[in-house]
Amino acid sequence: MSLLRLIKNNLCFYRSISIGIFLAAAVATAVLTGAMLVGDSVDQSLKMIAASRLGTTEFALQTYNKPFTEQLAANISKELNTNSAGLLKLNGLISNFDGSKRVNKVEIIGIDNRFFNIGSSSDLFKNNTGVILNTSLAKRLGITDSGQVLLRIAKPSVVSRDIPLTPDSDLTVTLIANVIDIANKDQFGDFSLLSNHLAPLNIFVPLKQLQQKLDLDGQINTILIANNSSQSITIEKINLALKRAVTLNDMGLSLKNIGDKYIELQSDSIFIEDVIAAGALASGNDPQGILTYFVNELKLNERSTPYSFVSAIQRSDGNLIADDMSDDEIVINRWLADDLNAGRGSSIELKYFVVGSGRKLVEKTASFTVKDILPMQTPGLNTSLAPEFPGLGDKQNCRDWDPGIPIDLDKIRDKDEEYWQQHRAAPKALITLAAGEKIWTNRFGTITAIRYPARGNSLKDIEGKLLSNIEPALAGLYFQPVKQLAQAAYQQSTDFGQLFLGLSFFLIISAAILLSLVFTFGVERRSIQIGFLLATGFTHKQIKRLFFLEAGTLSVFGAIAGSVLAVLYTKAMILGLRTIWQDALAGAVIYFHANTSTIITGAAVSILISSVAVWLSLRKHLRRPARELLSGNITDAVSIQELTFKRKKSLYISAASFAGAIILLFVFSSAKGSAGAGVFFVCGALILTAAMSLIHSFLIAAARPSQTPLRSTVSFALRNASRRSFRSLAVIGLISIGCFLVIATGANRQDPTKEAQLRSSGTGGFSIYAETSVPIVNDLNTASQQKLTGLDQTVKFVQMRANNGDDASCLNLNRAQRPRLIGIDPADMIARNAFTFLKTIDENNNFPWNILNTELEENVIPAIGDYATLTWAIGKGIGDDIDYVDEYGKEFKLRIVGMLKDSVFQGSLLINSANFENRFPSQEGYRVLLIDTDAGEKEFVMDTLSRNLADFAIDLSGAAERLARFKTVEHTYLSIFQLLGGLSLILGSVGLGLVVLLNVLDRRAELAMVRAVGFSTKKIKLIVFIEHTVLMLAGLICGCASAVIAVFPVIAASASQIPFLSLMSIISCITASALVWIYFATSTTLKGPLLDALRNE
Amino acid sequence: MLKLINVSKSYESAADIREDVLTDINLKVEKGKSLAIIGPSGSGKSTLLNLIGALDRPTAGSVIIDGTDLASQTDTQLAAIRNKRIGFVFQLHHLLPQCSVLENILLPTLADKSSQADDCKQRAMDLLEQVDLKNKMLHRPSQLSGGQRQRVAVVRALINEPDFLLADEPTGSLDKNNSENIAKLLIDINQRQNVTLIVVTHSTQLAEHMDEMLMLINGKLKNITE
Repeated sequence: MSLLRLIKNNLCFYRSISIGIFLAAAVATAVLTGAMLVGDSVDQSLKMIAASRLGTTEFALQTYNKPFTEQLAANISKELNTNSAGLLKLNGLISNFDGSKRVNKVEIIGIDNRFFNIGSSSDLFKNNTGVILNTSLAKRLGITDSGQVLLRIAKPSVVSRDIPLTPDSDLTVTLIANVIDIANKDQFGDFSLLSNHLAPLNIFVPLKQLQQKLDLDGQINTILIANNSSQSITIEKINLALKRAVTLNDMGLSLKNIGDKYIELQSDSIFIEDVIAAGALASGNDPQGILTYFVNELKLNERSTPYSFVSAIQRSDGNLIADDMSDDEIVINRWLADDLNAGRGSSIELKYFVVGSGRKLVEKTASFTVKDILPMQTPGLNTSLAPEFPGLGDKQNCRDWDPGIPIDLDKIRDKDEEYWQQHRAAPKALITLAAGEKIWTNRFGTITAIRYPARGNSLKDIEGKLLSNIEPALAGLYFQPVKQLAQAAYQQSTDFGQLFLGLSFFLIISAAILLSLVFTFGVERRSIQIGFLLATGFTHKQIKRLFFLEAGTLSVFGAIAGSVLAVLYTKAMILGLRTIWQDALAGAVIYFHANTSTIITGAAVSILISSVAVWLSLRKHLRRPARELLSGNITDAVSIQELTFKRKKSLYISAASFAGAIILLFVFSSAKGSAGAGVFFVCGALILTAAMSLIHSFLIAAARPSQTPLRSTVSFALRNASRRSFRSLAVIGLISIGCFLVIATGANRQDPTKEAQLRSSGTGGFSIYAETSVPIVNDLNTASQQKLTGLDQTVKFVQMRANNGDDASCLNLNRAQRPRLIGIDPADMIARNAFTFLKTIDENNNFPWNILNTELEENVIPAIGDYATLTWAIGKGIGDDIDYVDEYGKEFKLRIVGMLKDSVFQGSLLINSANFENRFPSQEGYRVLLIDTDAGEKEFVMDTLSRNLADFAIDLSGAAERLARFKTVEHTYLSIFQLLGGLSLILGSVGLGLVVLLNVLDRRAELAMVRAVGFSTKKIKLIVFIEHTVLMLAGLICGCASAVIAVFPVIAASASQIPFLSLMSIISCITASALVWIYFATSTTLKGPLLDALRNE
Repeated sequence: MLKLINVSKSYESAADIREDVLTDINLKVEKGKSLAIIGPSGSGKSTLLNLIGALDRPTAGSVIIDGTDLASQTDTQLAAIRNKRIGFVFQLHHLLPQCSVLENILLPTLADKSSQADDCKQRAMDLLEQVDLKNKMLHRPSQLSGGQRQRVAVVRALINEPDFLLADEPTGSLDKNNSENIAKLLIDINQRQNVTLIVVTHSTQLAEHMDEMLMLINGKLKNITE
């Protein structure tokens, strides 16, 4: 005989108990490990998605509207001895040829075979002509292998279309092509540089074909670089290689000789940006800045000259203007002097446009006094002073001019045509550069050219100095560590393991309670044996060890079985996440993955939980003296004093827990995100503890000897219920936990579309939310644009700029590293009093949107986000900073100064438009629209815009529907939570049935005696039924009351949105199910002759 | 030798009322003697046996076994005393239904790591032979009659060669025949193995076979041997 033998005998003999403990341990393990494996699966899936997005790409350079030479990529690649690929990456839309399906927000990528090398895939083009779709896009278009498609591609413009002088037409090019293949994720079809988990919509076009279509021969706007075999390339090395390889041409600059007198630096984007001008002015000897502007009119008294160029130059150019010329003086040419009949001292008025938002033109005037009149042949006073303005410079006649500004052709006279024929864009007047900068300065730059005197400077020298002094990043050329960013994105993503563990927490506790219940029953059944073992000389410690080993063995086997079940549980969860709960992951496909360490950890923790449950049960039992155990007369009978003490203790615990919960609820009611969820769970646990302790005190009171004898069946049943307080509490606990989960999650469901028409809601009162892939440069509220939209002035547009950042909404599982930024004019929101702030950095400000205009420290910009974006996607709060990089590669910080209540802006951060334009000047036009219209007109407006703005690849949705889509994610998690709550309830019902069984078995002799004294079997069943129904009702009331208290802040805030009807239905179903279990267990266990129990064994 | 000096035992009931079960019990039992304690139901006989068997502690007084006052012993030491020096036989045999006859007999040896497994097994089989149950050693208790089970319980009590054999109503659940058999067995053990036998019983027939008879009444012991 050995201990092992005894354990084996015990386990086999008491197999029903053993199976119960084994199953409970298996369930706990399955749920616990399963939750963690969901986390493993999501983590691994996100890692795989990131890998499929980038292939071997480690670094990437992207410009938006500033293409550069392919040679740059080749040179860097050669220097670093690594693979690279040059791409032309653009936005657009696609439709199948018959137009039956159209997809916006498409990435059109011009590639060559180097792209597939980077993606470690084979070249799908294989010298064929055509285009390749990725799987997601093909699915959306309904194309399975081939077909014809029509692309509309946003044409990049070096000259920002925000400059009114540039034409606002010619924004896109069209391409009709045959689809020759579909690239899946393993074929690098899902290539993307953003940290979004959803597959992009990609179409791949042969690079040469795309370049030709866009007149960008030899040009690209994206470089991908892989690391070398020794992984020695760092971001610093690569940016250094870039500096060595870049040319002026790549930066959109050019140097040319102006006769033999000057070397001139010009920019392809007409204005030389200030950051570049600063470097340029430090290169070469004696540089001179020039700002040439197109003015509407030069006027003197009644005479005026229309549409002329005026140049602002530096005084030191003694050839054209004198050193002592002041900023309010003007030098004119002879032609202008004659035209205006002006002489020295005349006061000439200049009328010119300056740019407002949406290319709004504001006409301004400035007056100057004529200082000098220059002859027409004055050297240097020629067309070379003016850059080639698009729509102007290449036209033969004035009447052919097609700039972006309105030109009244009737004002152009024959003499103006003649001037243009002879002198082209030669400026008719000159002012000082300081004066020009004062009146014509704009965000694109304050200089149109820089001249270096040819004497003392050589073109080569200046080129060298320019390349040395101007960092490529200032021209938007800088590499980013995209692989590192992608890794950070998925590593910092929501921990789904923890999330599911949290969701499953109560289910695990329920399994532990059930295990404890079964184990305790087993111990109670063997009480006499325990007494005997003590009598035979076993110590308490030895007996504890024996039972621990028994339960431990079952827990280990249960954990092993549970680990296998966990895999099935996880696969079921993943199937759910792919189907009915796909909204929780915004349609992402998750693959099953299990780390061995996770399985081992889950099993170990489950064994620990089981051990704790066993220890707690055993502890109470082994305190009993041997004689009591031997007598087989286990009672909870204690002295009245002790009962009173226990009752008081329970009441104190109840009061303390309740007080703790209330304090937490009110002190931390504003806690959001994971802190808010934590408060909710802790509150819930405290309130349940309070309720259970209160019930425990009632049970103790019911158990106390009473002066009044029992007078009714009900009171008899109640007295019975108070006998085995642990069992009763266990079953009440199981039911209340399940009830709590179901009710509390149900109460948290909110219908975001209710009250969506209010300005204070998450829609801001706007009816429609729209985004375009092709930016809209004009103000859609103007009369001229109403012709384009086909709508009248009752429809109002709020237009916002946006960059290409990561999606920071709940639809992206990854942690957004560089969230998308939207540039917003706070005045638009203040005027409408739109949206509601949950919190701001300045609570005293009556117009919280104004905080976006706050001046903060250098390189810190105020930003606003909505609650979900900040809390869940980015993990930041008020006052926190987010690191960002602007278009010049310069790092800056976004400081969170305001948090909106859940809004349509989820996924982006808002900064004021001025800051946006400063940091991202090449992001022309507006791509995010909020549209005000009457609710009844919404569909009509959406249809009209969908048609008339189709070329902008506009994506329209109802603002309320957009909110609802975000809420769907949250509601899906609540559904999962409810399901797990439902599983808890199933365990609770099983526990209830088990308790009925145990109680009846325990009291068979007693019930037989009751029968012997005259109670009918029917009445006995009724007593048992009532006894357990009381427990069930106590559990329901406990769970419901706890849930109501825990979610009280939610109820108080939005009572009208609580789905009371559905919650009542759920409670009714729970009650019915529990009653069925009680009835079934009662009937089954009371079958057969009870009177046998009166006899001894 | 067993000595009880002024031993008293009282309990507090659920109604917070103190009940004196035993009052000033004085008793001396020499080694190898047999003693019967009789008395009406609820008189405290089992309580007295529990005190002697170190299953309970007296409220007052001392229980001394071979000079060792049990009150000075820790729970672990008391367990060791019960294991090595005392054997219990109960009215209900308390055999473990999940163990065979042999395993049930060897159960007390598990409590003491120093027990030699082979020696214990041999002794168990010898004892089973003595009670004519060697052929049942692999049977489960459910396969034995009531008398057979009680004989196994007696053998179990003897496995560690105790100095004292305490029997609480050993024939209370048995028919006349079996009762007689058990009574004979106990007396035989007492006489042949020199084990001090203390029996609590209702059965005067069993009691009459003991060297001494005491009656427990109103918490006090009276010698009624003659």
